[in-house]
Amino acid sequence: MLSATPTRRTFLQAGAALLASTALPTLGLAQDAPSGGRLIVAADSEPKNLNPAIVASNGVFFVASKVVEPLAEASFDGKDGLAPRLATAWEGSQDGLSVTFHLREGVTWHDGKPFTSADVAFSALNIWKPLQNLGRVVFANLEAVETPDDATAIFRFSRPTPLQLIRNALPVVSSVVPKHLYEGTDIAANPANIQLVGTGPFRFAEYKPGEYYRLTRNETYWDKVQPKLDEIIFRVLPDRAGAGAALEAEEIQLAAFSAVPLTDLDRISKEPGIEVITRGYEALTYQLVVEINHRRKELADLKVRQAIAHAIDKKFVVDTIFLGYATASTGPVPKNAPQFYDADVPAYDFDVARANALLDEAGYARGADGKRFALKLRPAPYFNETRQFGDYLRQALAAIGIDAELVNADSAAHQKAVYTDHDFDLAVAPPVFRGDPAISTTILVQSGIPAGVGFSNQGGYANAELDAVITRAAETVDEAARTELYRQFQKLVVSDLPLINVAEWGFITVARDTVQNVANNPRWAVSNWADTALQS
Amino acid sequence: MFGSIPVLLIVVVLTFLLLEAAAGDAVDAYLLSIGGGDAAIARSLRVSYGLDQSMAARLWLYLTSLARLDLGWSVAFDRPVRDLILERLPNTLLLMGSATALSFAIGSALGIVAGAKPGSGRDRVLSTLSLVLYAIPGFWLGLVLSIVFAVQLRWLPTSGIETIASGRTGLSRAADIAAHLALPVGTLTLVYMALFLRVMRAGMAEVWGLDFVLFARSKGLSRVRIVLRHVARNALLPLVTMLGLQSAAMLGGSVVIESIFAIPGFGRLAQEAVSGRDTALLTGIIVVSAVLVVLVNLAIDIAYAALDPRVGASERGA
Repeated sequence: MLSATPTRRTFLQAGAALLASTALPTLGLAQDAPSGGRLIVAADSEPKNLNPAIVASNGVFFVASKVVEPLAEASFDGKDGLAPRLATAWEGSQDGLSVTFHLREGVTWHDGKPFTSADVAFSALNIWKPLQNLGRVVFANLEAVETPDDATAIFRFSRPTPLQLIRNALPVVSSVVPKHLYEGTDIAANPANIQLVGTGPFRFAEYKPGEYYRLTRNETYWDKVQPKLDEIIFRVLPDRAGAGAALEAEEIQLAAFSAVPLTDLDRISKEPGIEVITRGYEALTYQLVVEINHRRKELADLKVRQAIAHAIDKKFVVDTIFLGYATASTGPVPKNAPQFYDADVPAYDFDVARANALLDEAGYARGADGKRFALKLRPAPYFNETRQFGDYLRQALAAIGIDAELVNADSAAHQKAVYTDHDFDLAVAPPVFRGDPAISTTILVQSGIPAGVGFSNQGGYANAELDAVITRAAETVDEAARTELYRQFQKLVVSDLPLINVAEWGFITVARDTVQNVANNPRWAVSNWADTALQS
Repeated sequence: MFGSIPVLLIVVVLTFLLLEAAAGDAVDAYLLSIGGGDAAIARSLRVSYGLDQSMAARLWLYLTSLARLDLGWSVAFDRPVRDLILERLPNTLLLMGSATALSFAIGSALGIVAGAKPGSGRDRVLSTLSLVLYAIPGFWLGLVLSIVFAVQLRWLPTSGIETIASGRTGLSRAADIAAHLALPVGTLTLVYMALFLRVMRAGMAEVWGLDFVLFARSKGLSRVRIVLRHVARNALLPLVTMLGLQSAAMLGGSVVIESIFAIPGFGRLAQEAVSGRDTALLTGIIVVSAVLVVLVNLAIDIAYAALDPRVGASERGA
């Protein structure tokens, strides 16, 4: 036991020496951050498939985005909100049937082979379109990718596909993997899905299951601003209390994705040397939504849905459940998607009297016991906040005479009950807004989606007018017209309440103040971290 | 040994049915982890996982492959179950083995101290203390110890099984692992120590009243000799029984302690198998645990015979 003290210390000293020795030569570079060092980050999951071209999820991107790059990344100040990565420029045709990408030249894969348009064409046609969870939506009408030369890829679509959608989706759906490693193999079982090979600022060095992922600096990165860190280690810490303790003990330097629970933030922010950062998740907005099963005759009545909306005190939800780290929602598009957001929609203020009046009007009078009818409420177990909101909603419904029975289940059981078996009246869900309403938002209210599709309209809601707007927007190439359609979409959803949007939130990063350039883009946690640095 | 094969069979079938009865399957769990997928993805995954086949067909397939000592494929990890188990088992054996050994050693030693004079002040203090420790939830104790010794004093690492990518080998690596295990082993030892202390003390209290103790006293034997050689030794049998039960319980690993201290062990693996609805993995874990329990019981039986000559003798005599 005692030997721990000297060994830990020697380790830290060695780390410090390493920092000092590598910091000197690069001080004069473009950005004044020191080079070198090992950044240790908390990770809470170990995806079985780490290939972001196949699995476009935050858990995968968190590690993989440092190794495998998309065509473009989200940016606070870039044109169209994008910063070029493997593509340097892109333009769409008038008819929406093609998009041309001009690719970066002089880029090599981590195994030394050159990156060309053939890699993009292969990734798009053989992975993004047929295999990727989100690419299947965005590239549904992709027919061919032409590669007139090594630095140009022309995407051809069978139906008009808005450039606006492609652009908004690029950071998430366009991770390029090397054709030479995947061609002719079983893509889903390729070893490169774990032992990643990409073009990014870090190489995939090692994965020790249950313990860590280790990435090392790519010495031949294409950008003139070279990666700063020598190593990034994602250390698996499944317990949420563990990440906070490890930060305080300086065993890790950063915990993203709210790995430190909200309730600990106030305390930990007062620790010297620790910063709580709320930026860097603007393009990864999660939404707190009440899903409604319209097969229940009470819930098929708009007045009842309006009453439920009036019964929810959004301010309480934001202040008490999210401890202020959230924003009240007005509709299905979050505020930090300014391109589409429309504040001019009906508002449902917290008003219990009005809610009760609406229910009386709808013909659901209170019985002798003060109750109007009973409901089954299933809160999703994925976040503390969704479970707590379930508890709150039960009380809020009791205040208007609706007796909600809470049914808690683990993740797989919840998913099956709500999205396959439709065994719910109300459910609490945390869908994600992914930069464009067409990616994963319209599906929440669109009709005709087969059972078994998670995070989709499984409440039996059907509204022909809304469906028409969604279909039209999906093929409207003109940006202004398309944006206008999504404004209509928001108005229709908020007026008819197929679901109730309550709050929207981003995650929290907690980091030691030695970590520099944190949260400098709207998808920071899942971006490449080339400029992230450690101060000695 | 071979008598335990039907037991194993029942365990396997029950585990399989239990997980089958849980709502949602491996595909639901996986699609959730990647943020959802459409119906076609779900369908093709179900086919590739074999979930499109009937339950009976899958159970039969599993049993026949198990008969060939093939533990199958984990769909949640996309790796062979055998590899996963071989990877995690040593960690759990190390953690739980040290915790069981320590709690047995310290617990029975303190039990002898308490049982040397039942009802004395020493006995009361020890008995109360052990009850208090036993009543503390393990996760709470683990977190508190971690805050004190790892976060505030920084004597020990907060979590993990060894320093990441440190390149250590040999003794220095062993010392590193020991430092990492100190807190989780300490937590488990404090909690389980009470069991052994109580059993030892109770056994000794009973033996004190027996005639042969009176005889030993009247023979003029020293007190130490009576306590150790006559009273404690005769109170050992229930203690060994307890050790057997406890080792069996500990083989499953401790989900809570392994999670808090981020130790990639059996308990955490089992939890991940359940939440991922990974039938092959969970059944594999349970089969391996069951085999180990059978082996522990065998060892305990042998220990009985060694401790108490009457055990083996009566069988031979019959």
